Amino acid sequence: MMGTLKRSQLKMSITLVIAVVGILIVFTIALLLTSSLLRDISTNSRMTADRYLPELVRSQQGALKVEKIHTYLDAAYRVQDASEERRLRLLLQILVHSFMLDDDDYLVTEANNIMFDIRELLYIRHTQRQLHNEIINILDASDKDIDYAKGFFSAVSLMSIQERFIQLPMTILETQLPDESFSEVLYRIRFIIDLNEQLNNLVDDANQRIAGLSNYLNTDAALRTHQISNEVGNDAEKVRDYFSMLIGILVIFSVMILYAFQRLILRPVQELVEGLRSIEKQGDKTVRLRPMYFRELDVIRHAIEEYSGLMHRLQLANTELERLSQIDGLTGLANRRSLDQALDLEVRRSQRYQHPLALMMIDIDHFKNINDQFGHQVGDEGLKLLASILMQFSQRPGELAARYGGEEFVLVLPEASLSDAIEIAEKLLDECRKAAFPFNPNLHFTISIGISCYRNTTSNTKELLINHADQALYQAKTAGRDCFRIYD
Amino acid sequence: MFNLIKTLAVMLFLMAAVKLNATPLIVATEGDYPPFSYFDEAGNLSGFDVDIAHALCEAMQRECEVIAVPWVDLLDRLEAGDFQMIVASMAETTERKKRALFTDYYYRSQTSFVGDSRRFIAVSPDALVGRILSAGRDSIQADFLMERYSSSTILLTDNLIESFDLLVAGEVDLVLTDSINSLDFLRSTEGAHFDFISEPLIDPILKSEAHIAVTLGDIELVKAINNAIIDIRLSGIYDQINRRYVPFSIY
Repeated sequence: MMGTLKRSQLKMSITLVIAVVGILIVFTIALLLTSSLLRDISTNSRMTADRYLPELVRSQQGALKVEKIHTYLDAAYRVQDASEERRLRLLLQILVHSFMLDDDDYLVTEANNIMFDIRELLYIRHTQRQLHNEIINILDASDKDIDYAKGFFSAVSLMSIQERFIQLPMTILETQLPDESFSEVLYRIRFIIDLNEQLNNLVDDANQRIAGLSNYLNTDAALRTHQISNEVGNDAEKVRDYFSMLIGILVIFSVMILYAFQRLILRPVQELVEGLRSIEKQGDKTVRLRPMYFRELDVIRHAIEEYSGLMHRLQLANTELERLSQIDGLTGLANRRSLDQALDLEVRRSQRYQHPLALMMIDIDHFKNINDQFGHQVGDEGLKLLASILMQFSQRPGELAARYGGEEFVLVLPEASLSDAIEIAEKLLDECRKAAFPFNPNLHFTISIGISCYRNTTSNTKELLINHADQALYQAKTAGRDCFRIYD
Repeated sequence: MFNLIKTLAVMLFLMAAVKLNATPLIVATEGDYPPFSYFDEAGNLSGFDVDIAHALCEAMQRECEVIAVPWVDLLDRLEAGDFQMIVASMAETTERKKRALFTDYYYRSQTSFVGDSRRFIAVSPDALVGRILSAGRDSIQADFLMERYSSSTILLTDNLIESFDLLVAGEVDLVLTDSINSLDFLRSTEGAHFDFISEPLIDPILKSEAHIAVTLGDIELVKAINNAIIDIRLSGIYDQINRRYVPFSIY
C-alpha cells in the first residue's frame, strides 16, 4: 500500500530553516569580506591622498616661489636705487633659503646656485656703481665744456652703458678731455661695459636655473597628480570588481534557490495536485506517485495514495451493490425491480417503433407439493433449475428472464411475434419436462405459461401486459397445467 | 513628560550657547616680535600672529580676545589659566611639550645671524670665539647658542627689539633670530648697515616650524585649531594675511 522505498528524507521545515540560515551566513560573510575590502581600499585611497597631496601642495608652492624669485631677480637687475636693490636682495635671500626647509637635494642645490648668481650680480652692480661714481668724479673735476657728457653719464642707467649708446658723449670727451683723463674714463667705461656683458650672462644663467627649477616642480606636480589619479583609479576599479563579485554571488544564489524551490517544492506539489485529480478517473488502477524529497510532502503523497486505494475499494463496493440490487438472490435472474425497469423500456420502444413484444408469465406446477414432499431445499433447487433454463431463452439483447415472486417467473421477449412466442413456449415446456433435479434425478416438474402480446389498443402498458399474461396463466392452470394459453 | 524633555533640551541648549558665548577665548601673543606681533603707530596690537589668531577664532566660531604678554611669561601664565592659547611663533620643544599642547605648524621659517657683513663672513663657533652674541631669552635660538657657542659671550634679552637695539648700539656683535623677524629689522633705517651673515643655520635644536600652544589637556581645542588652520588655508584667508606681512608664502 505505502511506498516501501526507504531513503533518507529531510524535513522541509528544518531544511528551510537551514537554507535561510545558510543564506544569511553566506551573505554576511560576503558582506563582511567586501566591506572590509572596501574599507581597506578607502584607507588606501586616503593614504594615497595623505602621502601625495602635501607633496603636491608643496610642489605648487615651490613653483609659485620660483616664479617670485624670477620676478625679484628681474627687478634686482633693473633697479637703480641701492636701497631698493638691498630690499629685493633680502627678500630673495629668504625666499631662496626657504627651499632649504624642504627635504629635496636638487631644490636646495639649485636654490644655492641661484643665490650664488644673485650675489655675483649684486657684487657686479656694486662694482659698476663704484666705477660710475669714479667717472662722475673725473668729469666733475674737469673744467672743460663737457656739460652734455656730464649730464649724460649722471643720468644714464648702468645697463644702458653700451658701445652703441655712448658714441656721442665719448667723442665729445675725446676732443675735450686731456688724454690722461680720457683714458681713465675710457678704461672705466670699458670695464662697466664688460661687466654688463657678465651681468647678462649671469642673469641668463640664473633665469635658466629658475626655468629648470620651475620645470622640475611642475613636472613633479604633474607626476604626483598622475600617481594620485592612477592609484585612486586602481582603487576605484577594485571597488567595482568587488561589487560585481558580490552581485554575482547574489545572482547565483538567487538562481540556485529558485531552482531548488521549483525542483524540490513547486513541482512535487504540482505532482501531488495532479495525483489528487487523477483519482477521479483512476479506473481499476490506484494512483501511484513518485517518492518526495521532503518528509512533509511524502506524508501528503502517502495520504493521496491511501485515499486513492480507499476510493478504489468504494468503487468496487458500489458496483457490487448496484449489481446486487438488480438480481434475485436465489436464482441469479433479474428481480422485480429490474424487470419493471426493463419492461418499461421495452414497452416504450414497442410503442414508438411499432415492434412486437411478447411477455410470458411462467409458474411451476404443483410447486407447493414439491416443497411439502421433498422440502424447501429441493424446492429451491427446482427454482434454480427453471431459472437456468429461462437463462438459455433470454440470450438475445433485450430479452430478459426475471423472478416475479414465489415460483412465478417472467420472460420478456422483444421483437417476438405471437407465433414466435408460441414456438418459444412449446420449446420451453419441452425443456422443462426433460430437465432433472441435480440430486433427485427421478424428480421432474412441469410449468404453465400465460402469454400476452403488446397491442396498440388493449395490452399497451406494462401493467396490462403483466395482468393479461397472468390471466392467460390462470387459463392454462385451469386447462390442466403443462401447457400455455394466449390472452385474447 | 514630552514637555519636560523639551524644556530640558531647550535649557541645555541655552546653557551650551551661553557657555560658548559667555567665555571668549583669550589668546596670548608677544607684541615685541615684528612682523609677527607688534604695536603699530596707532598703538594697536597687530602682526601676522595677531591676524592669524583672529582668523582661527572666526573659523572656530569663537569669540576671542588677543592680548600681548611678554615672551618669558607666556607659558607660566598659560599654565596659570590666564589664557587658553598662545599664537606667538613658538617652536615645539621637548621642554615646552611638558607645559603645553601644540597644534600643527602654522608657518615655517629659518634662523640666521644678523650683523655687520663687513666685519663677519663666517659664523662657525670657531670663527666667533670671544664675540658677543645675542638672542631672546627662553628661545630655541638661546638654547642653540648656549649649546654650540660656549666660547662666545651670550647675551640674552627679554625680546628681540632689545637685541637689535644692542646691535645698533654696538654692544653685541651678532643677533641670532628668525629670518623673517630679521628682515623687518634689516629693512628699517637703523638696520640699513647690517645684513644676514652667511646661510641659514641648520641644526636639530633650531626648529623651523611655528606652532600654537594650548593649555595642557585641552585636546578638543587642539583639534578645533588644527581644523581651523586647514580651513583658513583652504579659504585663502591665510594667504591674504601672509601677503600683508611677507610677499611670499611662509607656510
